[in-house]
Amino acid sequence: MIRGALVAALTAAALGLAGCGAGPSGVLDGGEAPTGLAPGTPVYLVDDAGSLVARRRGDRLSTIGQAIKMLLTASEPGPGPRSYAGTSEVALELPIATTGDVITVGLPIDRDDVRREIGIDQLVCTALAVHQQSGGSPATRVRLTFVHGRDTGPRHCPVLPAS
Amino acid sequence: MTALGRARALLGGLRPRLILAFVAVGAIAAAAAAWASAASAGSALVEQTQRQFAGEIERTVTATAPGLPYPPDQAALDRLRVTVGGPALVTYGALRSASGPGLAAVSPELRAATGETGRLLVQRVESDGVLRLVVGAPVMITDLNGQRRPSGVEVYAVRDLSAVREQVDALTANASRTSALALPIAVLLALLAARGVLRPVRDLRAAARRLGGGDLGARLRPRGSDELAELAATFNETAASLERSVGELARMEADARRFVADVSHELRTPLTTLTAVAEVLEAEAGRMPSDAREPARLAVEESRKLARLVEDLIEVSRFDAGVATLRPEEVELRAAVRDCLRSRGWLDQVELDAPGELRAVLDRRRLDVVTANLVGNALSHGAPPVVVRLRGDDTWAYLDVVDHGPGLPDDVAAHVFDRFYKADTARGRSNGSGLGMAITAENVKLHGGTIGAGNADGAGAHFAVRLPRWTGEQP
Repeated sequence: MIRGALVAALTAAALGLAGCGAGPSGVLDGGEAPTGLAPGTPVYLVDDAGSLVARRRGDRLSTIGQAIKMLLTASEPGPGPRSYAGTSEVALELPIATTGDVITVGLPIDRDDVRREIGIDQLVCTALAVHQQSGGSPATRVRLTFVHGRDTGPRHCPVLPAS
Repeated sequence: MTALGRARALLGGLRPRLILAFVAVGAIAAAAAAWASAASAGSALVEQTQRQFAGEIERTVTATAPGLPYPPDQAALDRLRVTVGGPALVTYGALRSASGPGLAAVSPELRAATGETGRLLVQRVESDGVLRLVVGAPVMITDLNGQRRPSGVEVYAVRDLSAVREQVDALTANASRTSALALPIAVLLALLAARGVLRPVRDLRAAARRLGGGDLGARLRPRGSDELAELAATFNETAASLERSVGELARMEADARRFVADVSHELRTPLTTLTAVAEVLEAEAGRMPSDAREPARLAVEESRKLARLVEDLIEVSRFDAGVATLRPEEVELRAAVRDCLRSRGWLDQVELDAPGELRAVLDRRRLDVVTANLVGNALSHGAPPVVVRLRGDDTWAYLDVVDHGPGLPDDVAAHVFDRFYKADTARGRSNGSGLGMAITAENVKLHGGTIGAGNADGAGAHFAVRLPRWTGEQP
C-alpha cells in the first residue's frame, strides 16, 4: 500500500513539474477568416424593369464614400440601367459616421435631387453592399442626410441580406 | 539484511506508515491542485495570446483588402504583406510575397488546411527551441447574397510565443514551489495524527502488559467514540470479566481450603479422646480374649493414623492460609539431624555423612520435619543403606537423602511433592498420610530454599534440599 502511494506521489510530482508547458500543436481553428476582396465596387442602378441591379466599377471594393461618389457621378450613355440617385461632381470625401449599427452618410446633394424613391434605395444598397463585402454585419442600416431636405430613417436595402 | 529488508523494518512501524501515507496524500493533493491550476492558467494564457494574434491579423487584412485590386497583382500582395507585418507570406496562385525569418515554420499541413477551409487557422510550431504561432488566413470574398468564398489569396503570418512560454513556465515553477510548501505541513499534520492515534495504542499495550503481569485491575480510559475507544471499552470488559472469573475461582478455592481446615479442627478434639481411649484399650489388650485382641490392635493403629492425618491436614491448611511462620534460630545441623534420627530410632538404619559441624540459622522444628519425612520416605519406599549427607557453603546448606532402592521413574519424580500422590497405585494404603512430601516441600519453600527429586548415580532415589544458611539474616 505504501509503495503504491509513493509511486503515485512521485508520478504526480513528475507530472506537476513536467506538465502544462506550452508546446507545439496541430492545426487549430483560429476564428473568422478575413474578407474584403472584391472584383470591383458594387454600384446599384435601376434597369428597364425598375429593378435594382448591381454593377461593378473599377478593380477593387473600395470604401462606402467612394462607392457613393461613383454612383453620384454615374453617367448614362445610351441604353442600360439608369440612376435616379442624383448627380454631384463634389470631389471631397463624403462624411461617413457609424453609430452602433447605423451608418450615416452625408450626401452632397439636396433631397429633391433624388428623382425617385428608388434612388434612395440605390444609395442605401450601394453603401450597404460595400459595408457587407468589407466584412460588415448584414444587420447594419444606413441613414442618409442631405444638404437640404429631411434625412431618411435608418434603412435596409431590399435586395441585400438583412441578417 | 538487504537494504530493502532494512527499509521495510524501518517503515514497518505504525507511526512511519501513518506519516508516509499522510505525506504521500498531501503531496499528491498539493501537486495535483497546483498542476491543474497551472495547467489551466497556462493553457488559458496561450489561447488568449493565440486569439489576440489571430484577431489582429484578421482585422488588419479585412481593413486592407477593400483597397486592393482583385485579382491582385504582385504589388497588391506586397502591400498586404507589409500591412500584416512581421514575418509573413502572402500567396495568390503562382504569385508569392514573402519576407522575414522563421517562414519555414509554415507547415505544408497548415497550407493544405488553409486552402480547404473558410476559417482562419493557427498552429504552434517549435523549432530551434523557439515556440512560434503560425496563422494561416484565407482571404474571403463576401458575395452580395451574403455567401463567402475563398478568393485564392492566402496570408500566413509567424508570431513569437516565447514570452507566453516564459510566463507558463513561471506558472509551473510557482506551482511546484507551492506543492513543496505543502510537504512540511503534511508532515506536521501526520505527526499530530500519528500521536493521536498511537497514544491509545500505547495505553492499550501498557494495560495489556499489566494484565499479563497479574494486575487484574488494569483498565483503560476510553476517549472519544472512535474504533480505538471501542477497542478500549472491549478491553475493559474483557479484563473485568477475567477479574470476576479469577476472583470467583480464588473465592471457591479459599472456601474449599477453609472447609478442610475447619473439618480438621473439628475432628481434632474427638480424635484426641479417641486416641486416649485407644491407648487405654492397648494397655488392656493383654487381658483380652485372644479373638478380641487383633481387632483392638487394628482399632488403635487406625485411630493413631487418623490422628496423624488430621495433624498433617491442619499443617497443610496453615501453609495454604499463609499463616505458617518461620522461627529462625541458630542450629548446628549435624547435631540437629542426628537428634532427629535418634528420636525416631533410625540411627542404626541411616548413615549420616557430615564432615563436621555446620552452623546455620533456620527453623529447628521445620528442619526436623523435613529430615524425618525424607528419611522416613526413603526407609519405607527405598532400600537400605539410606545416606543423609550434609554440606554447606557461604550461603546455602545442602541436605541430601539417598537410598539404594529401585529409584524414581520420571513421572513419579515430577509428582512426588503433590498432595496424596501415591507412587505405587497397586498399594491402596500406605503408612503415611500422603501429605508428608507436600509438607516437606512447603517447609523448604517457607525457608526460601529449593527441593528436588531424582536418581543418584549407582544408587536409588535422591532427594536434594537446599536451604539458605542464614535464614532471615544478612550473611
